[in-house]
Amino acid sequence: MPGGNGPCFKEKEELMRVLIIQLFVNGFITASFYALAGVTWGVIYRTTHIFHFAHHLVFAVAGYAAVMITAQSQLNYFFGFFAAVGAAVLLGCGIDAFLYRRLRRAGATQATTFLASLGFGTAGVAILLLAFTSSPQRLVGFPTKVLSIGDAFFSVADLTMVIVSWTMIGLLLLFLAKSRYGKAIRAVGSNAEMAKNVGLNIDRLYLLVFAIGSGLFGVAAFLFTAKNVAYPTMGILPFFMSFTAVFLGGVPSIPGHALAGFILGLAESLGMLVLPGEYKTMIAFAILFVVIVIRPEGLIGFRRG
Amino acid sequence: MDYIVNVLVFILIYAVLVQSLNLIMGYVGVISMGHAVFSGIGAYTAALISVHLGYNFLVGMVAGFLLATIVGALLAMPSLRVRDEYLIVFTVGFQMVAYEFMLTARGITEGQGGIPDIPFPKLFGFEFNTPFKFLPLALFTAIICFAIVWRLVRSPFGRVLKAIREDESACRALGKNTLKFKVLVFALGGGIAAIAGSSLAYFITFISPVSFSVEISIFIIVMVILGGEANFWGPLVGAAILVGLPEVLRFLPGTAGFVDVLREIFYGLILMFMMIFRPQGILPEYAAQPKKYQIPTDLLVEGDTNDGADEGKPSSAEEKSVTYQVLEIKGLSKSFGGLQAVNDASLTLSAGKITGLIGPNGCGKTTIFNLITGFLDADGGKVYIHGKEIIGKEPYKLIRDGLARSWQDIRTFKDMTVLDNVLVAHPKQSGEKILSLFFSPWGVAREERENYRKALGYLKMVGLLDKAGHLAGSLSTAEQKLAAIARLMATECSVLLLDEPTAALDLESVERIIKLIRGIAKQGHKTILLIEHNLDVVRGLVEEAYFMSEGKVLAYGEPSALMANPKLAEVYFGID
Repeated sequence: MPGGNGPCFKEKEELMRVLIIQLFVNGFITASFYALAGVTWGVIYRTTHIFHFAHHLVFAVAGYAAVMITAQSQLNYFFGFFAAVGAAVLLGCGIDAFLYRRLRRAGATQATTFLASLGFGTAGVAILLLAFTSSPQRLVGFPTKVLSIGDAFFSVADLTMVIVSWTMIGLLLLFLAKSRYGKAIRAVGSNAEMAKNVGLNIDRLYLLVFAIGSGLFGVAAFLFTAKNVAYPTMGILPFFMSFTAVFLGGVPSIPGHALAGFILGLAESLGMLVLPGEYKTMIAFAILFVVIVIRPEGLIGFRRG
Repeated sequence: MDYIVNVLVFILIYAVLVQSLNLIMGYVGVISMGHAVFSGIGAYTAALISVHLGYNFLVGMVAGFLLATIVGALLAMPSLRVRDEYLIVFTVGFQMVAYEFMLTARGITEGQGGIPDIPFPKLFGFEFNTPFKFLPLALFTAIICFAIVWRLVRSPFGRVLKAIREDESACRALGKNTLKFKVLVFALGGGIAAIAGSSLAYFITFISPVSFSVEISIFIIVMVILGGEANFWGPLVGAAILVGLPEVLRFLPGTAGFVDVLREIFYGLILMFMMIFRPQGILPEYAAQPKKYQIPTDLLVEGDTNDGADEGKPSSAEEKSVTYQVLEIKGLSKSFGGLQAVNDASLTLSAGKITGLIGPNGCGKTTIFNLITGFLDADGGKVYIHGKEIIGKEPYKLIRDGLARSWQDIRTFKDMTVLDNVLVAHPKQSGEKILSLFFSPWGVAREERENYRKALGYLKMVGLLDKAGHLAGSLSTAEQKLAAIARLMATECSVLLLDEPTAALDLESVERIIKLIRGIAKQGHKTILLIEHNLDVVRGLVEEAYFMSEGKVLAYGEPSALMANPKLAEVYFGID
């Protein structure tokens, strides 16, 4: 039939347009989440230089805390939010106070601390698996309404994720730039030896940094659980993205971690135009590999003397 | 019975896998979070070759080895250029990406379901189709792999690996191309892991991605740590305990899944508690030897009284003229951000003389050393040694030009014996080449004997002969400084840059080192540039010195004349 291809082709083009818009919107949501994940580990690593691998466990524990508290006696999910943040802060600070501090005193190398962290995280996830099984758990009561702007659709959870992520990043940057403690944290990050000499209490500052980094990751975990579900290994991918963002952005620059996380999220979503969805980590890894080979100091990092 | 043999085969296969990671983690000291992938490469290559092409298992094993070697080198080349923590990042990424590939590239790996029906290995019509028949094959493979690793780590090659682990910069300053060593070890470690992987594939005749997941990579790390890093028998112990013991758990009541989860908890806790209470593992690195090595005293030359300093041969140029300029530095500059650390500095060193470089703290003396030796890139200026331009050369290449340096913070290789500290510094050792190690072992042994003789001579010269078998880290600061001088002598370089050789020492040790340096310059015909804060030392050693302040060379002359200048004295003692 003559001309029969016309509308069909048009339809395809229209479909493609809608798809691209939707991928951009999804990308922006994921990107905001990765940006937040990036700064949570970034503030810890930049300051302490501890390769805090158990960060993924903090995420999972926070997620489960949110689910459990909310499900308990039909509490509002607001309680779940505070439970997630509280559990994350407690666990993160606990790991620093009882594990890393001990290793620090013993003069452990970065590799030793990393391995201890790896062990703790591995055991922790297995314990979660034992306690909650591998079946995913939903956060009850969080609004599931779907909103739209034009052709793009997103849920309340998505919108919350974007708003809360950027608010948290903004607050963190403001805290680091303006407050006395924030300035101290930046001083320790650039030179731990010097900071010690001017009389900063390193242990207390590290604890503060772990509280901030873990608490913000707890926020991220709540957002993730509200959007998706909680399961024992839920922290692995966000953690992978967070440390990839830190090295991609350049270790010294916290805004760089956020920017790099944002790039990773956007790339992951737009990558679906050409690659199947399972290749998330491959895209992130490829970006990191190429950037580090060309610019070892990361996107915003500066070359060390 | 079959069951026990089954477990034994698994222990042997894992021992090989763990040994291959021990080579990387224990000896070179870098963490690989993706080691299971290398065994996966071996397993999949072997499976695909045997299933689709029907070739003999030996072809599959060799192909897997080669492919994993290439992948290991490719992964290591860019990532080892950056600092060690990046390697964790890269190898985690490598692990995750490779796992995704195994799951999703169904055309090659057949995805989650894996590849079944891999034929049992056959050799001369004999089929290794039961655990009992497979055991000798697994044992033979393990012995071969262990023998290769044994040869590598107990050789000049292995000595360099340990030196890289202890202090990579110091190792580069001794003329070792550390990047090359790391890439080689990553390639070989990957290759040996692939052998273990293909053995696994041929033994259980079925492979799927779960056998090569990040959990398995962590499991291998736990076994290395438990057995003891850099201990040759550690991997066997680690594998025997962690593969063998959980098999016992199998008889516990409960579902298989429950036992698996318990196992994960168990591994994680082992790793954590080992790091807290016994990071050196069940068998520590030096468990196999007594605390002191047996020193081969028969190699000592008796009656060698002139402090052994005649090891360095005077160059013909030095004999011709005393004023020959060995090292010339012209207009060297370097700034860090806004700070001009070195500003248009020019110095020359005359042959056989000790020249001083003095000035207040932070005036750029050590920066000049770092610029000359290639640890920093200069913004401008030239450096010539024997008239040959060397600026911009990699640190490890300068040894060949006859230039070596010492460090303000000493940087001995602490977990190595004093003797090994000196031995590793000898230039052009054929035993550092893998091919020579395996194909001309006699030549390597002969050379090694000669190097032992020389090294003991240097140790005698600095007076540390009785400490030769001690770990360098167990020595006092003064002794470590002496060991560092012996190590520097072993490079056989004619130009030595000494960075505060007497700092933080008691008077007696200072005297000893002054005498030693004077001897090295006089009898050893070395040209020396000396950074020193102790003015007594400067006056005692140096005829002429350069005076630096705020990155600039302000004056040149006799030390006492320099210090008599009120202006310079003011700068030096910082009276603002």
